[in-house]
Amino acid sequence: MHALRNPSRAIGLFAAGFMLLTTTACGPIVFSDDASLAIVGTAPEPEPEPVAEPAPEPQKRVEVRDNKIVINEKIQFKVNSDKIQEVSHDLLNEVAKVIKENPQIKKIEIQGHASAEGGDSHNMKLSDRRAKAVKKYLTSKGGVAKDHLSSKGYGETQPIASNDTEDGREKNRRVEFVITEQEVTQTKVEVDDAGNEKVIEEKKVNG
Amino acid sequence: MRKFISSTILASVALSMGCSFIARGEDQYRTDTRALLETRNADIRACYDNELANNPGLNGDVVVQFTVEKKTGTITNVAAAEGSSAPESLQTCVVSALEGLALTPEDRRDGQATFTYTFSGPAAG
Repeated sequence: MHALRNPSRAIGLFAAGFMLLTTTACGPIVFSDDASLAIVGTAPEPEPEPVAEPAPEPQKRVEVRDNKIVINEKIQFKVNSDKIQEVSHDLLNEVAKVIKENPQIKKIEIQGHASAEGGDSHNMKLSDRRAKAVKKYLTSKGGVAKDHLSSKGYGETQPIASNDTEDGREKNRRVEFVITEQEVTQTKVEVDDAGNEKVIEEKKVNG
Repeated sequence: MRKFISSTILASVALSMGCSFIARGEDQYRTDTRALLETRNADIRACYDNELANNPGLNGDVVVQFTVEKKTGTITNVAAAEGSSAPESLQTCVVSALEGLALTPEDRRDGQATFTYTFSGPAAG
């Protein structure tokens, strides 16, 4: 109140107070946040499942290749006999199926082969009988047309391995299916400048 | 005496001009700064996700302290502070993520801020 009686002093006090206030207001403000900033992680991408190598296609037991029907398994006969063992019936059924699925195959020669073990004549006859037995099975059980098949025994004349080892002799005892006649489609194409192909002739011929 | 009064008034006016009274209060300063920090949440989550890739199940806190510069609003002197329990690499990443931020509108006072990031793994699903 005393100061108010002196205007100069009052103004001085006001100014000092004002300065103090503004100085305080300009000081740093300290604050902290009690509520934390929550960061929720993202689930890491699962490791991609290793892509399994596609299983190699099992080797077919019966395949048509060029001029042969190749069997990757042996036809089993009873020892010194033309009787086909039951274990080979399934294989022969598959041969019949393949023949019927390939109508372009017109003629097949069933060839019987033997190892050098035993007499030549015996081997010749045995291989011939075995080839006939296969033919009979394919026509009677497999449903293959008779005129599609012929059979012949070659004895030991066409070995594919050494007859000096048992392994080689085993390889030589075999039945082969040789395609002797089949229909082949010949196609003539014309290729223009742009690389486009145009079939100009297509004909079926016996090979 | 008159001279003293005049200069005192002038000084006060000058100071008041340099420091507006529209300066934020503490709560507003905190709220605005938090909102500013949240603009970098994606970067900070990326820091955490990186750590999670090497250390699944990692949790922890990073306490950050920094200054919001008056007049420019720039966040400076960012540092991980005591109380941080997350690995140092995550602390460093968080600090880097906050660099370059600036509060707008800028305040007339510096802000000495402390914030805590709490990291928690993704909910099991």
